Amino acid sequence: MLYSTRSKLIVSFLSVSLLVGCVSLIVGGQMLYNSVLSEAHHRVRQDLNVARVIYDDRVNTIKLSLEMTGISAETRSALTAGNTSVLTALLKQVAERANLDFAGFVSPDGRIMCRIGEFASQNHRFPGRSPVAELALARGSSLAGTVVLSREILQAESPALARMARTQIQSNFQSPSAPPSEENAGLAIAAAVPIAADNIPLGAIYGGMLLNRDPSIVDKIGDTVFKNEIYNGRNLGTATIFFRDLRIATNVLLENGQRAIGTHASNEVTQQVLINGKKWSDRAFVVKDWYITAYEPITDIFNQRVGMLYVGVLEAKYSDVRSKALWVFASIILTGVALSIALGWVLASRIVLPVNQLIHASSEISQGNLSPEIDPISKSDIGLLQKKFKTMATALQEREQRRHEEHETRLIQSEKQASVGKLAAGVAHEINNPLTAVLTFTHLILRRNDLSDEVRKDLETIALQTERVRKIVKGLLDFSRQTRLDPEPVNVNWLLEDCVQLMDNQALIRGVILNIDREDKLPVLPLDRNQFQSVIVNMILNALDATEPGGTIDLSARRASPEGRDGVKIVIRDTGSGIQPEHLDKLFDPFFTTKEVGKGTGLGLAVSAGVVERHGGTISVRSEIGLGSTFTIRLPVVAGEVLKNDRVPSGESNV
Amino acid sequence: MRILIVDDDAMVIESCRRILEADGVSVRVAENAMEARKILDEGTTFELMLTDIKMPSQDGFQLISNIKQTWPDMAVLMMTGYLTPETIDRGKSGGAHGFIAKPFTPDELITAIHKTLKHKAQ
Repeated sequence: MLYSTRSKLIVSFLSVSLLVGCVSLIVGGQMLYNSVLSEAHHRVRQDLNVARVIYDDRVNTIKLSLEMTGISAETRSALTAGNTSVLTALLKQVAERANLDFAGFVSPDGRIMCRIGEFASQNHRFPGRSPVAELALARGSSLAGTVVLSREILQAESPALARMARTQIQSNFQSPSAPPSEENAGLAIAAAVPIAADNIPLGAIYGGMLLNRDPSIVDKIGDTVFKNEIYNGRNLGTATIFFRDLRIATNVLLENGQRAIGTHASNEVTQQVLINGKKWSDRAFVVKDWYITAYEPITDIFNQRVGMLYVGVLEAKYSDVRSKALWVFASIILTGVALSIALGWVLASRIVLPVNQLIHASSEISQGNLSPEIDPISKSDIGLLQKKFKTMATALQEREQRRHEEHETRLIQSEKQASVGKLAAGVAHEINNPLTAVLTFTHLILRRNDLSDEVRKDLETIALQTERVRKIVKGLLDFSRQTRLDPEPVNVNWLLEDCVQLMDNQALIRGVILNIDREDKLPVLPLDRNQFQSVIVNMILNALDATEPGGTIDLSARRASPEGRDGVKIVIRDTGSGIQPEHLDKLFDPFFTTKEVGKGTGLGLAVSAGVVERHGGTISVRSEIGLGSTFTIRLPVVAGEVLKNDRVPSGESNV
Repeated sequence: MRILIVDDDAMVIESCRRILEADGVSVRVAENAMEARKILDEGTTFELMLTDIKMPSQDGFQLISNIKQTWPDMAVLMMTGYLTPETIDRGKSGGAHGFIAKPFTPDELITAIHKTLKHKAQ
């Protein structure tokens, strides 16, 4: 039981701490992760904007460089003159300045006049065409943007460019179904500026850079946005330029450390960004790691979506924050668990120790030690229990003491009764013979007519005194007889009424009021009607003797519980002279009387007490001098052991 | 009327004899059971025998159990200084018709004798 109290306590603590811990682990961890993640998403979207600015900046730089060359007088005069060598020199100048991969002049009809590429001076006829320049001429204004260059155009510009643009398509995780093949076209950013003199178009200058395999833009993004931060050996931030869904420039690395050029974007991203033209931001598996990513489409000068710009942050950095937080939570929970076990143990000990003590004390009490060790009193609720227990033990002790004393009193009483009884039986037999003679002869002499008054008076005194002796002996025998009880169901109310009726005349003569106060529905008791009636009559007689005219005697019967058993309490209260306190102890002793010599034998109350006790009841008295006395008889419903002993009837008795 | 008195105490015998003779009763006395038996054997008819219970050698109970067959018409009144319910029970079953506790006054004895005779007659 104690073990289970302890384990229950520990289990309760444990379950509370585990519950709270796990809930906070799950909820807190998730909340923390979500807020970190949404922060990361926000950041990636901002980073994508920065990447777009860097991309556009590069486009603008090319456009500005070409415009500067286009508006110079030297260019216009060389163009008017058709001096290709000067034009080529100018092209090389601007290409160097703006870091261009290709550049050239076109005539107003779109024919290539000169370019910086390898076939620059062959027959003075240049193959290929420039879609940017053509569009600029058609619009009549300068133009810059992204443009798709076919293999033929690239080949015409420079075979080196065509080689550069050729991209081997890798079969990768994201699109395993894509057939391995080759992409020969290239994505470029380019600009073209039409040149005119006096509103007469002279031609146009164009130039651009091939994005394929060109790390400058993505590296600049990595540098500017992510400061090239490395996390666990990998780039924290990544940037990629897609040609359609194909990676053509990126700082995402393959496992072998190569840039992941030639791999595809996932189908979902391609669908959302390239085909539907929306921005896209979510976690995505890129090549070999999870990234928090953002994509947006790249539109070419013809307003076609030809590629995508991507930035991504390694998710591992944020998921590590979560796992770190989870570890912290878990260790807090473990500490809590350990603490709750310890606390449960200590608390259980503090509870169990006094409880143990009480259990020990209980068994000591049941073995008869009524003052067991209970201290120290605990300060907790258990202390209350300990105090109550102590009170109970004390009460038990007092009760035991009282019972012991009562038992002793009863023993002394019955010893007295027994010894007096033996004496009485012997004396009665021997004394009664001579008494018979005395009584007989006195009465016989009294029958004579020749007696003088004086003699007659003396004889009458002898007869009277002999009667007195007879009464004393009879009282002795009444007291000593362990009368056999003849119990029958008796209604105490009726019994009291009978007694009052018997005594009514006596009371009337003495001027004392005799009251009876009954409670209805009293339990019926098994009593010896005759003996009990004489007990009540004797008590009323005593009360009458003690009460002056005008006083009252109250009899009452009430339901009561002597010693916890159901029963009846009979009270006889008078307003008489009261009993001296020093007489109270001896009141029920045989031969004790306060009445004048010859008025009482001192046996009435002793006999009454005997009768009540043999009915299993008790009799007690309270008295105050001048105020009166109260005799209380308590009787249980089930009578005590009824002793079966001889009865000494008084006077004659006939069958 | 003739009454036989049996008691080992001479003063009790004398008291009873005096009471009864004063009342006109013819009285014979015996100091023990043997003597009583002898008197009865003489052939005199007694209406009543007044006997003590506690006597040496043969007590009142033995006496009445011995004579009740031979003299069934005689009433028996037992007297004793220590009358208990057991005494009454025993005396009744032995054939006694009345009981009286010592001491008694002359009137009480006469009344008891009349009651006993009345009871015997029933």
